[in-house]
Amino acid sequence: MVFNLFMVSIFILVGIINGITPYYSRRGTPFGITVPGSYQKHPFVQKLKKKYLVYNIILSVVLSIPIFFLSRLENIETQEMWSSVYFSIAVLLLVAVSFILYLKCRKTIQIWKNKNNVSSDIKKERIIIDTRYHEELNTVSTSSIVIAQIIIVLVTVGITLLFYASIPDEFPIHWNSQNIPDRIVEKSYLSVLMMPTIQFLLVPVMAFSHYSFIKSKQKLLSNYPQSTSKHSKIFRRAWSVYFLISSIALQLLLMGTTFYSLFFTDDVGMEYMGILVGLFVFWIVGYSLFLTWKYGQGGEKLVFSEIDDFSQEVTEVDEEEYWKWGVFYYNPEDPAIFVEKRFGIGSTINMARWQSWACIGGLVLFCILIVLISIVMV
Amino acid sequence: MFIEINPHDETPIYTQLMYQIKKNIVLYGDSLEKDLPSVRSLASDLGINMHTVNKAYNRLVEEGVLSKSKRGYFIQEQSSLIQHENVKEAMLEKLTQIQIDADIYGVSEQTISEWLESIKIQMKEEVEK
Repeated sequence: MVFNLFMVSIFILVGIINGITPYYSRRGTPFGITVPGSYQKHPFVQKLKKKYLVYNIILSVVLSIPIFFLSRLENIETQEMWSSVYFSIAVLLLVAVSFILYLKCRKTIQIWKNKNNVSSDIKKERIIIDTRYHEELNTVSTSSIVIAQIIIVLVTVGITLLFYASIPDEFPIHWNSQNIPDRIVEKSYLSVLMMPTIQFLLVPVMAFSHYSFIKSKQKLLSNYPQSTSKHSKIFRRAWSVYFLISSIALQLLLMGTTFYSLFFTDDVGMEYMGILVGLFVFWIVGYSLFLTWKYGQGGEKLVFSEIDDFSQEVTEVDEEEYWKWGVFYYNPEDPAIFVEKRFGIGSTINMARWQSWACIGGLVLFCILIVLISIVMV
Repeated sequence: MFIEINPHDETPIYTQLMYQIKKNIVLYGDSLEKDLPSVRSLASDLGINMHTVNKAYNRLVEEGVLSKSKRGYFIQEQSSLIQHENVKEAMLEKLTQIQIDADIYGVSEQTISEWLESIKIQMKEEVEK
């Protein structure tokens, strides 16, 4: 029952997070469509954002209802099998329908723009940048994120090898929804080091995630370059700290799981694991929501809170033609590899650069590697 | 320093970039950091071709406004800026154009002076902001 409640809350949480995205994305590009300053707070746009939120929540609630019917299945194994099948399908549906909703909203705004002759003056377009931006960014360094994680991995390996003799001849590596172990492996140097190996492989993944975010090209509001520059740096710094803590938390969680699996598979250990997992999820989801609420994308929320009168002397350059569906950036003229998202929080890649594809390829390779290793080592 | 580019202006981007850098030097002089962002970094932030930034930087080096070293491009000490021959030529050409336009459109010398004054005041106001 607890497990199903957990699943349902995750679904609804995803629905809410999806739905609130337009509220915290760049104000100038609702649903990835360029809307000039004077129209950004227009009731039509606001109503559309609300609709998107409501529909996303309804969608996630509807998709989570069948989970309660699944809990009626008596056989635990059958229930788990159908749960995982349903879960996969439901997640895909959630993503797909949500995306279709998003595309519909885009269409709606475009039609509204055409009907009301909403357009921005091309002559007012300016690109403004701060040459000191990257120099003064002063985020947590990517190397500290690497070092912190490596230390934890080394401690995990160290303790595992030090107390190798205390490890039972067989230990569990997977538990079912009732927290009963359902995959047990034999002890060997290879099998006990499987988890630390995965921990180690996650180090570059987390580091790259951080690196790509802080290296993103700057995006300043042309009317308020100083304010945007200041708050954009604050925004990146705050998320940078979040990355550091999250990387450490992830490694600690995995270290805890390793020790639980090797040394402590009893009821007391399970309680600690439950708390650990709970704290981790609470941090990852909770704090990122907090940062989203506090700063908005690129620190824009802080910029707008500082402004007394909304000036319209100049506008940003309209990049709409380079953003496919408002989410995929393809601009061969732009040497930047990592750019801030047009819809959403954070950064994304310039698909016209080969380095971007190299990074994606590298990430995919890592995922495959992690899966292969967990198969090979046990 | 802040650099502003108008992507739809007739003036080529590298020229705009050159004058934005020079303007910042004129307005903020010594309070500016001497080192400029790398070609790649600036091009990436502006979303323009690296050749464009390269051209602007190198032209400014030719004019003596910037200096280039292994570590990158730096703003030269203003006192060390000599009037190069090609600077004089370029300015004469621009002044000739203004003179021709002033004559053809009947704009008096006094008006030109007044315009220059208001431009200077405008630039001063920018610094104060």
